[in-house]
Amino acid sequence: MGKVRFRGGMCRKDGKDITKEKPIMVLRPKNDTVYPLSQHIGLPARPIVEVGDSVLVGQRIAEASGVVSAHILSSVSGRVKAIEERKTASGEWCESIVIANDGAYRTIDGFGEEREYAGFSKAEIRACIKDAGIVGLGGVGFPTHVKLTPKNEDSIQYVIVNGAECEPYLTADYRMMLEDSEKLVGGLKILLRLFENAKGVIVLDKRNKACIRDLSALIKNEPRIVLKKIKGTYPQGAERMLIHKVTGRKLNSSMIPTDVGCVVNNAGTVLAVYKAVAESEPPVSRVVTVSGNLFTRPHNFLVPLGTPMEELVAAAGGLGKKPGKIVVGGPMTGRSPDSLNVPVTKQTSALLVFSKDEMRMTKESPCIRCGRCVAACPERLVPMHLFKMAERSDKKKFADRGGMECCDCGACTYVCPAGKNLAETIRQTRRSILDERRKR
Amino acid sequence: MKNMTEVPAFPHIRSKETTATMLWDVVIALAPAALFGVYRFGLIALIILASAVATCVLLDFVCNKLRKRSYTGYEPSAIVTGLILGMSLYPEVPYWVPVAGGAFAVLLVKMLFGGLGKNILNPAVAALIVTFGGLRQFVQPPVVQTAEEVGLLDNFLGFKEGTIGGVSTFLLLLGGLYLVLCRVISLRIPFFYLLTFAAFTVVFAVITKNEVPDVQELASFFCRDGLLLGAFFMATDTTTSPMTGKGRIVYGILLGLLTGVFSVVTKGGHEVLYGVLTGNLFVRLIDRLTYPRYFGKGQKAKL
Repeated sequence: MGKVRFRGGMCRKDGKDITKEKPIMVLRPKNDTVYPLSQHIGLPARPIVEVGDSVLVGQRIAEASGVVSAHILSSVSGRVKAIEERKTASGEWCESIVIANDGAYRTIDGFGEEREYAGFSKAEIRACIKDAGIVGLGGVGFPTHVKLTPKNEDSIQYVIVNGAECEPYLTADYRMMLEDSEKLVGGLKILLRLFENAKGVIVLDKRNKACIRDLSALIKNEPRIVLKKIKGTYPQGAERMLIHKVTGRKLNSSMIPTDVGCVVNNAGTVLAVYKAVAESEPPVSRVVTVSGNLFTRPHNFLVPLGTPMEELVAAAGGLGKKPGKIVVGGPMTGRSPDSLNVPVTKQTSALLVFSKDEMRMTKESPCIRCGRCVAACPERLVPMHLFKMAERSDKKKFADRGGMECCDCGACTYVCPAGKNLAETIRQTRRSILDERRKR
Repeated sequence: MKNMTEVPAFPHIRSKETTATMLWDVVIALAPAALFGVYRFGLIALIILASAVATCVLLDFVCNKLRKRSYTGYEPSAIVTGLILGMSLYPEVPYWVPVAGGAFAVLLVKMLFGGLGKNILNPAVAALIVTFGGLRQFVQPPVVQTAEEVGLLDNFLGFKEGTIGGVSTFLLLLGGLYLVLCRVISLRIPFFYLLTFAAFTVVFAVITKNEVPDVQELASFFCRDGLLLGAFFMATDTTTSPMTGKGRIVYGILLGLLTGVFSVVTKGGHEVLYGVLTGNLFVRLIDRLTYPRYFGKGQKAKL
């Protein structure tokens, strides 16, 4: 593990102070919950309940419909009200199951019971994870059981737990790691049983002293687990950056972590694995940071999946002013729905609402070649150049200049003093190139 | 609750820094040295500065209006050009010289190439070279003083004859450091520029005169009229300097060498201007040669 320095990134106040010291609060709403069938990468799940069926907490309501897909479980008890198209945070309409919540939160048999998992085989552990419908809780939602089943499991040398949570404002992972540090280590130990040759690495932001203290004490007698402290400036928690920092190995866009012997999981995902395997408690709820300058009581909430955002807003004290912008997820890569009537899904790490004056909405001005985007890009690209190629729709040159390597972190747009939508333009061009390649 | 917010592209938060705030910072950084010039040389210096700035701002405004471009957000760009131009002139120049210089800078060097961000040469520097070259009989330096005559402290503080804004090494250094601390410019270009230029001068002195300059000589070297104005404000103009960190180091070194050569070749001074202008021509080449290798390029699956 040589000393590797991060390049790129940005410097700023990250807004985490607002909710950093707010303990996780359990929220149990009484209203309808909505479960989009596509909460993960891959094929949407297939509903296995019908309108009118009564369901319990933890009951499977939709089934994985392919290799890369995940089950969806009910997070409340009640009755299936409808199976219809509902709007999601990304602004798209998605087939969803709507459950009328009876507010009793009756669970299925065996929910939350401790399990003697020490004797479980690898296949049994993977089955537990699959049954629990666990997907990556960090961002894109890759089904975890698929990630944990690489072609050659002996070649995995590092199981990396991403606890860097480098997106501004987010404190959900931090609170989880702090309040459930034993379970985090327990989850990592379960993952290490799947990969005998691997070392477990928990990556933390070095500013999170409390987490570091607790976890260091817990792993004192764990020879296979180490902590790695990194500078948590965005976007250093991005997968490729993280692997580079931990192993010194570099990945490009055509490679996946297992190519360099790594499996990377978000801290929340590892925690979910522990709860699913050891406590028979699949992740039917998740921690959501509710923050931004408009809330009177910003907080970290543990909410059932499917809860509409409006409930979170109410729990956080309501909005003082007319919102300028709603963001679901981190402020850098999250989605911005046009209303609060969208549900919490497996990937919802935060609900942020900002007032209009908090957003900078300057008019675009000409590029003066200041080079800020070049310095900020973690993939060492030249965003302003790619932007020009994209505007001219010179796709060949765009790809030659590494445009396909962009990791969509948005750092270039953040720093651009000319107010150009660099990242969005580059993303669109990249997608259209990918589409063309797929057609061929 | 439909359509209650605007939904522009990600990321959803932006840095507070804009092109305008960056350029205003440059104006702030230039101000002390310019004001010192006014204090030192009197009202005439103020008139020269004001007419240079006014010419640039007015022409920039008119051109943008004619081209039907929005003009909001980058007004200070013309102020910076005008200030650097005015500050590099001697207080004795006729009143129309800053106007002519400003017009040349904005119309021919900036607008002809497409306006803000498109020019290849630094407008102020190019205009100054044309002024000093073409209008030679009007812009001669009044009195040439040697470093010994002035004394080191006065030399550093700017109590000497010279250009309006170029004399106060101290205040220019202060302004330059302000820009570095505000992260408007990086230290790379000025640092490597000054280092290389100094090293060139020392080596040249050793080779030709076979003597090593002493500390006093070196100190007065850095206090020469206009050197810091060039290093911190002309060479770091983002439009006419490379975009990568590596490129900026190369550029700084190149500028140092060019300035060194010009200081030997041209007896009439202005080597900083010649150095920067010649360096401008290499910027696109340096950009191409130092184009970064993207992360993970050429990597293959190891396992």
